Amino acid sequence: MLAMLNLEPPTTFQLPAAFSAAANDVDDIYYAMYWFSLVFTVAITGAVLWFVFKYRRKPGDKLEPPGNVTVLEITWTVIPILFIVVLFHIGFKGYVAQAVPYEGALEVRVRGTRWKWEFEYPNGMRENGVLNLPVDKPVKLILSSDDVIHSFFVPGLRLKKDAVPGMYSSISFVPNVTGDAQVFCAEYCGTSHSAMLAMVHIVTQQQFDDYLKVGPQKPDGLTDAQWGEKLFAQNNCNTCHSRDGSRSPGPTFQHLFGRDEVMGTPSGVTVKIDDNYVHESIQKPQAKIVMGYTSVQMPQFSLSEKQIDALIAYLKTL
Amino acid sequence: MASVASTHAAPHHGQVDPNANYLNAEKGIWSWLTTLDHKRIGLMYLASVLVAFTLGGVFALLVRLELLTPGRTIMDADTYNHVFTLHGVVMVFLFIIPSVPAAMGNFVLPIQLGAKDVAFPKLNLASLYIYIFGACFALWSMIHGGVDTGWTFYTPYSTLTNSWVIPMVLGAFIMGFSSILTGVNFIATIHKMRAPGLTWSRLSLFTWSLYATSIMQVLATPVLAITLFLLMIERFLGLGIFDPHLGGDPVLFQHFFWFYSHPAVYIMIVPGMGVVSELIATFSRKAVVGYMFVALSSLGLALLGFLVWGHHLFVSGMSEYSAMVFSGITFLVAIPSGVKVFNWVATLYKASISLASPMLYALAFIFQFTIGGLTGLVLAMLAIDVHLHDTYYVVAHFHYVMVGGTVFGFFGGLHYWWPKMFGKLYDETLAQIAFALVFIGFNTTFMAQFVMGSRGMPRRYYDYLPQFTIFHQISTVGSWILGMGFLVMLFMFIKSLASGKKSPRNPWGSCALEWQTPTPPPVTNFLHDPVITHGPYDYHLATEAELAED
Repeated sequence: MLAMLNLEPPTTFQLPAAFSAAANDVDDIYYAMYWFSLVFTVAITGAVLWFVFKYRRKPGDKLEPPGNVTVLEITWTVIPILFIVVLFHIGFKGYVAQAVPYEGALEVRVRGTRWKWEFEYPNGMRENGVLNLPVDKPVKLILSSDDVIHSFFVPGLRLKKDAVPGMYSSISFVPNVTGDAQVFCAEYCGTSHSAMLAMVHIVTQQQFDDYLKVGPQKPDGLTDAQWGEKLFAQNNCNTCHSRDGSRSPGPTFQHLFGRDEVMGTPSGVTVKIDDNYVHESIQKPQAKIVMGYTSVQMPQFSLSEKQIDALIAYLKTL
Repeated sequence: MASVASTHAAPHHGQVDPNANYLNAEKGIWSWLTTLDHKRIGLMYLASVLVAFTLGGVFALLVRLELLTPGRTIMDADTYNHVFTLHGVVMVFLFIIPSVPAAMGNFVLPIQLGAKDVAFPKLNLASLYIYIFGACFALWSMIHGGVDTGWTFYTPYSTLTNSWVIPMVLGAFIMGFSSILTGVNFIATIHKMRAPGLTWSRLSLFTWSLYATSIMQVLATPVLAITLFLLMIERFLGLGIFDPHLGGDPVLFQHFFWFYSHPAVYIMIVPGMGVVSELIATFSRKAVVGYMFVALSSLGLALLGFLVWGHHLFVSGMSEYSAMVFSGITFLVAIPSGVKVFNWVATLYKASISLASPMLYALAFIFQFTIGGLTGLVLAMLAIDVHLHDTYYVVAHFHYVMVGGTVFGFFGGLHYWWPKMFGKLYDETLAQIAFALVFIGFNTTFMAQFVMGSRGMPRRYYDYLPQFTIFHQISTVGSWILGMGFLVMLFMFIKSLASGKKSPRNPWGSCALEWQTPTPPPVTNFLHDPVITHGPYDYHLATEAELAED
């Protein structure tokens, strides 16, 4: 319903907007638990404050031992046990619901690399930083990592799973609202951990089919350089390359073109940075590496020729 | 509590000067460095952990300051990653693990047992030096650039990063042995050194909590040693244990690490609970309700502490069945925790309550531990943990337990036993001002983190999206109030040392055994060997003389 009206799902004070029915179920559990905890905290704090006031020390207080409290002890052991059995059951049911994959789900590969997320669709098309998904269709994301542990976290779906090098893991869900859901890396992975972001872009089936057919296109009304700037952010280039000359894991992109750089690989060769060098470095990052950066493993980027053109146009403006 | 002055108690030999105590019996730095007196060793531990706490606190303030604004505020991302790692490492390994057991336990435990010292005094001194030796390795690593792995040293990151992981890990490895030796020493002391008449059902609840803690230290710490040792082997020899590129399994490291580190969390909190039991009894002038239940709940926590490590791995790709079992056992932790809280609250009923500064810390502990515990239940619920794992919600949760619990217990205990340790009183008004600042600062800092966590802010982030700014700023302002509170407290304690009034023997009117001996205690703790005739909280059996100030 919401999808057809294209409404942004509501945000509450404690939880972000939810993009699936399962996320709404998690929210119900969360708020039930929140009120349960609040009542307990208020009751205990209230009792403490009341006793502290009522039984504050006065001269001539009689010092008495506590009476027999066995019944009380059993009460406040057994009743919490009943509570936790119920809570455990609710929590586990919600978890299992998320863990079971759906029949006929759309399978997308998600690869975490320091510091970007790459998405690969069943037709082999790949894009960094943006995951397009059709609304109301079951999805299974298959996670893996090339280097260290990352964690694919989508607060809007209330889902998170580690991408562990050497193994596959997966999450399944059905987005039920169109809109944009933020992706974070939730497992600490080094320098640009906090910039390892991406976006889940939930669109209509029609929009999704078009996207798979023609691939990422330059949005209407943008110049090449403007599109390049968007691609720069989307591909997380900023996680390794500064734009203001400050130190970063890779060489800075400030005044990049026309610069003479001495290479570490192949050692000692001097290269003038031009369109061809940048083009090669995006597609084959290990071919020529600037001196001082040879220990950094830049991942390969699969970008279309048009996208590389746009990126170069943007880099020339820096 | 005990008939320390009774006629059948044998007078101790060698105590001639009535003003002689453990502080002035011998003079000079050498007499401290070579002392076998558990009280002096306790004070040296106290000085060490307070230095560590200050260092860790400065790192914490730097982390909060950097997060005041999105993007760069005062440092770059790599520096930030080092600073938050050092905050964790210093607070966990150098401060909180030795804080209550090694510093306060060493000072108080033998006196509460009516003993002259711990069972193995030389081993006790050795454990202090091992701790300092390990701390030196950690310091060496910090000075040479430090580590940026987080205090958890997760692989394969920790085997790939080129910073000083090995000396830091070696430091933690060495400090582990200190922890084991203290544990062994305490267990032997509690079993063998109790004064005549001090039955198990008359032990103080602090002693019970140290007993439970010691068992965990002895059983769990070797696993940390093994894990860190394997990590070093992998880095040095390239043997594939945890690194998938060498054929290892990174999740195995997490299992090993948390198999120690979860019990370690209980090593941190259980002694704090013991302190709170003492405070509540003394300042309520009443026996803790359900004494045996509270005592055994410490052992219950110690046992459960070994069975819940998997709840740190719910989203790591562990099997759903394992997750189910770990979630179920984690819920059980609520039972002994609840037993403690309910009994503390019930103790206040029909009591005679004084709101002196140590009691304020104890009451704040109950409030904050309740929040820490209940948010622990939220995290134990699998469906919700998937969302909250590795967000600020978790950061807030464990700070409510570790700071709101243990650190408040530690400083409550420090206020409580301060006159016993140094024979001086402190300025109560300043102490209460410090408490108010610490209480408000702490809750401001971490309450904001619960909200940003549930809204999706991941932890260990150098930079953040604009929608989280307001919560980060509230949290940072809170950290300043908290830091100010500790400054006032530091000033208050220094003032007490410099010009504090002489403390009477029993400033709190407690009937616990440690207050029945002179303040500060003589070298051998008691002027006469004590014979115990009632428990530490039996105010109805205590004589006027026992409860009197002098």
